[in-house]
Amino acid sequence: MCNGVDVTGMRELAVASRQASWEAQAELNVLGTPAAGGRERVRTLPMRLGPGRVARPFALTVATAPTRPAAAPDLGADAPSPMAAALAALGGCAAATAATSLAVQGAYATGISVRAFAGRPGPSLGAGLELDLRGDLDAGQARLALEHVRRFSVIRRTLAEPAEVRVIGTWTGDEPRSVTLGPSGAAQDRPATAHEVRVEWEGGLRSIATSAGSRMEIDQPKQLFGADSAPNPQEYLLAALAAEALAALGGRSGSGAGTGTDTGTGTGTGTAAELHVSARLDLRGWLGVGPRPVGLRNILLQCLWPPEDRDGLDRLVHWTGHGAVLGLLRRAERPHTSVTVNGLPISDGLPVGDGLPVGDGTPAAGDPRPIDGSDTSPYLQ
Amino acid sequence: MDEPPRSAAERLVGELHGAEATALLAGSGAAAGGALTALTNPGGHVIVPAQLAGPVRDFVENDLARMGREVSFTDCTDIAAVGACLRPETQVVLTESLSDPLMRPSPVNELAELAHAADLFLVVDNTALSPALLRPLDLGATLVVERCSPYLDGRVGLDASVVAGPPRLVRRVAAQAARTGARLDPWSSELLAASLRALALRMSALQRNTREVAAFLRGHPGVARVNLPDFDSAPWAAETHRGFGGLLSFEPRAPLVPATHDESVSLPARTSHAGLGARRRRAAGISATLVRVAPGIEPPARLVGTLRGLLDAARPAPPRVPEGTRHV
Repeated sequence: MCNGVDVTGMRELAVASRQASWEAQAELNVLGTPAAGGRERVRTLPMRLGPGRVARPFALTVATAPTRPAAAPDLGADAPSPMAAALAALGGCAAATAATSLAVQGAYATGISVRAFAGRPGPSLGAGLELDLRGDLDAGQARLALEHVRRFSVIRRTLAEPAEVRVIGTWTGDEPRSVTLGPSGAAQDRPATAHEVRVEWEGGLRSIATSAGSRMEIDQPKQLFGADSAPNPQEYLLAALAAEALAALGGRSGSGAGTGTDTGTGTGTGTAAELHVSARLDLRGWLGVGPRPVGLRNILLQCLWPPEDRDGLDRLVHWTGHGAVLGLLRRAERPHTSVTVNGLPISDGLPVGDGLPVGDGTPAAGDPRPIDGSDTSPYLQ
Repeated sequence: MDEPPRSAAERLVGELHGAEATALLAGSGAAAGGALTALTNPGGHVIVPAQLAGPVRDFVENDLARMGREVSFTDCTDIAAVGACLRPETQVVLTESLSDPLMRPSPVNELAELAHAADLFLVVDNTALSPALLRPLDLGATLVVERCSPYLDGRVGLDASVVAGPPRLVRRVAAQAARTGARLDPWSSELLAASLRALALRMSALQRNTREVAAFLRGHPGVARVNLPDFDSAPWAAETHRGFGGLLSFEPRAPLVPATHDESVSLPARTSHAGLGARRRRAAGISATLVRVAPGIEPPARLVGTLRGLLDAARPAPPRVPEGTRHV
């Protein structure tokens, strides 16, 4: 045990996953429903993990309207916006990956701070990560931690790689119908304003993210070597998507990020809509075992809205082209990632664009490094 | 976290069960309790046998619920009953390989199929059969747990239990148990290792003696029903079991009053299952008069004599003749 990370357990899972692929298959699920006052309630549902299940019923409140619900202070007065939840996922996952990398190297960290941001000026979506590692660490250890974040951080790879996101809407009127939208490569609106979330590593795979007064705890289930204390980064990302889509169905902009895409038809009082978001994760990618995708796959949003809302489908279609969190996923831009050690910048020595393979793990042209787990898994060295 | 060195007893239990990893834990309920806790999360749900008793019952009813797990009690020898309890948050099914005290064998292979199909972990408490008669891991169980007494330790009375299965899961159970207890001490471990070498011999003698006692009971007019499975009543077990252990129970026609100090003959309603209360005992099918018999490896003549005495003493008295009636 180093940095609170159960390296032996991760190594055992890597070995088991190499021997039996089903040990590494995970399916995550969240269920979102509207709450009053421009808030969405998102519950984590049981996760399928290998031959078993993981059941941690966490409830998240996500703010999709700028005003605080004065009449209902228990409904997350300081709830994060969907974009803040997504960036917390990005930062928390990076912090845990860096802590794990240092643990594998036998390097003790006294602290890890991450700034996860989006919407910074520039031609891209302006998303990225800035890590500061603290402790008696040398540049080589920091560079390897940075490389591991770029390679094995699930949320970063989810944002960096073209991910299939399917949206199925079902209207429960007297003429029920479903519509499947995407995947498409349509350009998304970039966030109109910059967003930043600060993440402080607490130990093990646990972190605390803060953004504009909201506080988000991030952890992993004990089956994935966490402490069961909070949703994991993947669930935060799915919750952000669920909340944004729910807000769109309710007629609000949804991201809480000022995308300027508010359709202006809703009052934010909540509807009977229900939104289920699921995704698959092959842990072999996370563990570096074999040429497997690291990020979330088969992201599926299933929306159900009441019969009296005849414009729900139009708003959902609008959201698929303009949702800020959805845009982060569908633009597939690699978040810029840098590292400092005790505040001092470290040159990563990597070419522009990371030089890392994307997609299904096939090495990109000119990339000399294989992604085969036998060569790259930190746990099988 | 380095793998602790395995003791001789752990190696032997591992070989007997065909397990990659085993851990000996102090406390007879530590293995089952540790497994239920380690394999579930707060908010999870477990399915356990309705007739579960002893420290594991206490743990499941009190501690596990306080740790945020929901528990369903059902007849875990009945696949349909287990299936009816499944929920999205169900994580573990715990079953006893032989339900005590009704002595119903659990179809471990079918339960394993159900568990695999539903992404659940199947934990089998194999105390009543021991690895000499059943190897649940071969049948698809995720983990096997056993109390060391009375069979593994040869009635030495070790307050210990063992968990066996895949290394990743056994390590989690051992780590969970270590939070509130400890590994078994070396001396007890040595005692267990010495005892395990003669396990097959003891189980063979136990089964022979149990069949002999059952034959006596079936022939006695004071006995309404004997609970001891065999391959005629459970033909499906021919592929999975090598026997049905050294326990039996019977329903007498009139209540028996066994000596309180005699551990081989007892009333579960007053001893092992007294804590369940009458309502839950009825739900589990355990009557107030059910008698549990645990023959030892010694010749059963003395035990048969004890049972005969109890049954004869309980024989209903002949009907009293009303006063004034004349006999012709």
